[in-house]
Amino acid sequence: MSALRTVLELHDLDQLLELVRDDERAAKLRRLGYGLEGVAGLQRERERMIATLDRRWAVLYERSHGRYGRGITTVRDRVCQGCFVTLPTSASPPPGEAQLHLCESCGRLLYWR
Amino acid sequence: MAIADIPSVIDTALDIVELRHKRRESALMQLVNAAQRRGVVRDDGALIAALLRRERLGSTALGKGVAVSHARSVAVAKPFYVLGRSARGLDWPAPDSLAVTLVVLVLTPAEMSAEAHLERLASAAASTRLQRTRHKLLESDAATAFALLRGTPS
Repeated sequence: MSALRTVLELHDLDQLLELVRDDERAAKLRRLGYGLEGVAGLQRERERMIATLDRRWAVLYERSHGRYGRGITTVRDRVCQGCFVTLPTSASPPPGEAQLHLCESCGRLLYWR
Repeated sequence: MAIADIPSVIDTALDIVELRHKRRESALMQLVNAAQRRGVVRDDGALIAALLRRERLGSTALGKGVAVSHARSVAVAKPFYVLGRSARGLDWPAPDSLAVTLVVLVLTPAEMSAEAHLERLASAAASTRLQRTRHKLLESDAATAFALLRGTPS
C-alpha cells in the first residue's frame, strides 16, 4: 500500500476512533442502534498501520494529529485548508495525481490533488 | 442567478442505486461507485476501506431491514447520501437477523465537524424508523428520498 493511501486510511480511522471514544457521541450512536464492540480491534489495527508507514510520514502524521487533532488536511485551489495560506505553484502535484505534502506555513500534512 | 449556479440549487446530493449483489462488501462498493460517478469521492479505495473498518467496529445494520452505513472521510469531497435498495435482501449482520433491503450511505467530508456528521447520521437513521417512511424510501425518487433523509417534508 502506498504511503498516501495508508495516511488517508489512518486519518479516517482516527476520525472514527475519536467519534467513539467521546462518551457523549458514543452514547448517541448507541441510542441510534449501533454496536461499538470493535474499538480495541481498530486500535490494534491503527498501531499496525503506523508501523508499516515510512518513518518520515509517520512522524509528520502524528505531529499533525497531536497538534491539530487531524493528521491530514486537504488542499483546495492551492490553499491549505488548515491555515488558509496559498501554497507555491512549484510544489503542486502533476494534474490528476495526488501527493502527500507538508504545509510550510503551519506544518500540517496535506493531501494535495 | 448565473446559469452555472442552477445545478447546485437543484442538486439533491443523493443517488439511488438498485443493489445487485447479496454480500455487504459488494453492496458498499456499488454505493461508493455511485458516489464516485457524482464526483464526491476523492479516493474510492480509501473510502471503501473506511466503510469496511466501520463495519468491523460494529455492524451498521439497525434492524427492520435497514442499514445506515457512514464515513466522515478525507476521501469525501462533499456531503452526499446514497440510497441502496435490494429486492432480494443483503447478508448483513443485524440485531433482528432480518435481511437488509434498504441501505443509506451517509458521506461527510472530514472538513465538517463530528457533530455535523452525527446530526446527518441521526436524521437519516430517524427517518428509517417509521414503516411508512421505509416504504416511501423503497419507492421514492431522489428528491423525495433526500427530503425524507434530511427530515424535511417532501
